[in-house]
Amino acid sequence: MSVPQAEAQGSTAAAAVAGGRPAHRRARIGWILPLSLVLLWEGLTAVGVIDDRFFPPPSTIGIGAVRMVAEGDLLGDTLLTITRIAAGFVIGGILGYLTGLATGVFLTARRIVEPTLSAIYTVPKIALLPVFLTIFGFGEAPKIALVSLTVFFYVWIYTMEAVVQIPRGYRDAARSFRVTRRQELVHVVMPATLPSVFTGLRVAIAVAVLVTISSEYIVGGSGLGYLIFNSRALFKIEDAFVGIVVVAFLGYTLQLLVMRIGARVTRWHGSAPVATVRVNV
Amino acid sequence: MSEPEVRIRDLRVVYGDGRSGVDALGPLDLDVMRGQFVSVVGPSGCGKSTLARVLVGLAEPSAGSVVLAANERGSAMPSAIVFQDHAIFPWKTVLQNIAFGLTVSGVDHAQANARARSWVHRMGLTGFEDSYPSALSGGMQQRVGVARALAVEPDVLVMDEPFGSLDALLRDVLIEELLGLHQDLRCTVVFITHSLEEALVLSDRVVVLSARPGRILADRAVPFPRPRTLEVRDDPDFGSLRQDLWHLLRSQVDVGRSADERAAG
Ligand SMILES: Nc1ncnc2c1ncn2[C@@H]1O[C@H](COP(=O)(O)OP(=O)(O)O)[C@@H](O)[C@H]1O
Ligand SMILES: [Mg+2]
Repeated sequence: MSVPQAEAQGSTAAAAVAGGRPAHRRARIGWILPLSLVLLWEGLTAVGVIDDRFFPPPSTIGIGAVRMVAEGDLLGDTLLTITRIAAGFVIGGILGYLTGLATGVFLTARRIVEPTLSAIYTVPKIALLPVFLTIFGFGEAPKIALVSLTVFFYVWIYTMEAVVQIPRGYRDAARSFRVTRRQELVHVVMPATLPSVFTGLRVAIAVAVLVTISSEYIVGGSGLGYLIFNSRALFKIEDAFVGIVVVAFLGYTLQLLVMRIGARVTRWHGSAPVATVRVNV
Repeated sequence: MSEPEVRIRDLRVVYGDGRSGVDALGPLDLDVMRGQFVSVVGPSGCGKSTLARVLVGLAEPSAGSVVLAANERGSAMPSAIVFQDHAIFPWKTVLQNIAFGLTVSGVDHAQANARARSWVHRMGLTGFEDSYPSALSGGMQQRVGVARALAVEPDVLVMDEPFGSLDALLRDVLIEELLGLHQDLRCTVVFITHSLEEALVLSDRVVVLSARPGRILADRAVPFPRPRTLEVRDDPDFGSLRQDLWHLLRSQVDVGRSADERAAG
């Protein structure tokens, strides 16, 4: 049999190089806008166009951050917030993934739960916080439960839709080798849905940050959400801005982390997980 | 006379049920002898894929019977199929794709890989073992599909328009490769196509189906000696056989169309 080398669209190594370079360049372009805004802000406060009592310049925020770390509460609050996000993300992610697989695979299961879950899906999750406070009291539980619930819905919907949309040909190909249901799940359903699942996880982590901060804001006591709220209430505008910047970095870093892991485990997939996403808190 | 490898009796397949059911195929009787290469041609929608699916257990007969001799012998893999599209798993490497059928039948990892590797070489895919399908051309992807089916050493190989989405040149290349494979392996093949030329070049027998529900209109032996090459196309008998079958097929395309027009009108 002939070896038609020319037929190959290029080795995997060549494809990786071709796909990798523009991605890096895109990442660098992404820094231009925030950096320009920071410089503009700094400049406008320096010449007095912006009132630095309400909008402290980036340099002041930077110095404030160092002071707050030294005083000891910023790192602690950040760590607490990360812990809440992570706990909710793991619990909600696992439950959402399993529910998504089950409702995706079994039509009857989907018909039973879908209307109910879809109805709850459209309720802004933060509106459920009072209910959760009643159920779980004032400890960590209501916040983590709320984040878990939010993450659960995103991962569940993305996973279920992905399972339903697996082209029939893949399942037929597997079944023609007389696979068991378990083998079909492991060799076809789970890998085929990974790209969508990671898109869901990426949305979920972003919303998890949002919900965690909001619930800390409302419940109070600790965490970056409380720090922002409390600082503002005490007219420590500078401290509030430090909190906001840390949250922004946290959200960015966590999304990047999820995307990197996703790209790694779905290397076979032509493109990176989708960037445009639907958000419904 | 030995038992046929595939024995189809009075086969009918109906999709759905009651008055809204679609008669897709049959009644159909067909025997395929061991080692025989049989092509099934017919107009689009006449039930060719349905027949292929029944042969690999992806669809159930609504009536009649399909008996594979290999099943009676207790063979591990009585039949395997090569599809036109979505043939191979994009999340598995070339080697993992080819080893798939072996892996899921419980062949141990090392042995499955060794057997898959020998198919990699045989299909001219050396160097692409660890590539993902997205890095391969359509022709190479289809070679992986063929290798995946053959790696389990099926008693009957079913191919459902396997070269349907390839360009003409590449199709010719793969047809020659398949001729070579069949020459070496002597496997029983049921080859579904809508190309008479493909059918005549490859087969020992060509079966022509009617418009839906597909029934057998003609069953012709293809007389050209093996080993064969694409040059059989230049044989004068090739042309007349092709002409003959084409007239049959053409009448069915018209039947299908007027039936559709009646249904629409
Ligand atoms: N799952 C199905 N449900 C209902 N009708 C089907 C299904 N699969 C195929 N059909 C119908 O059965 C007929 C035969 O289909 P098929 O076997 O795919 O034909 P071919 O492969 O010859 O084009 C067609 O009319 C098709 O629309
Ligand atoms: Mg078909």
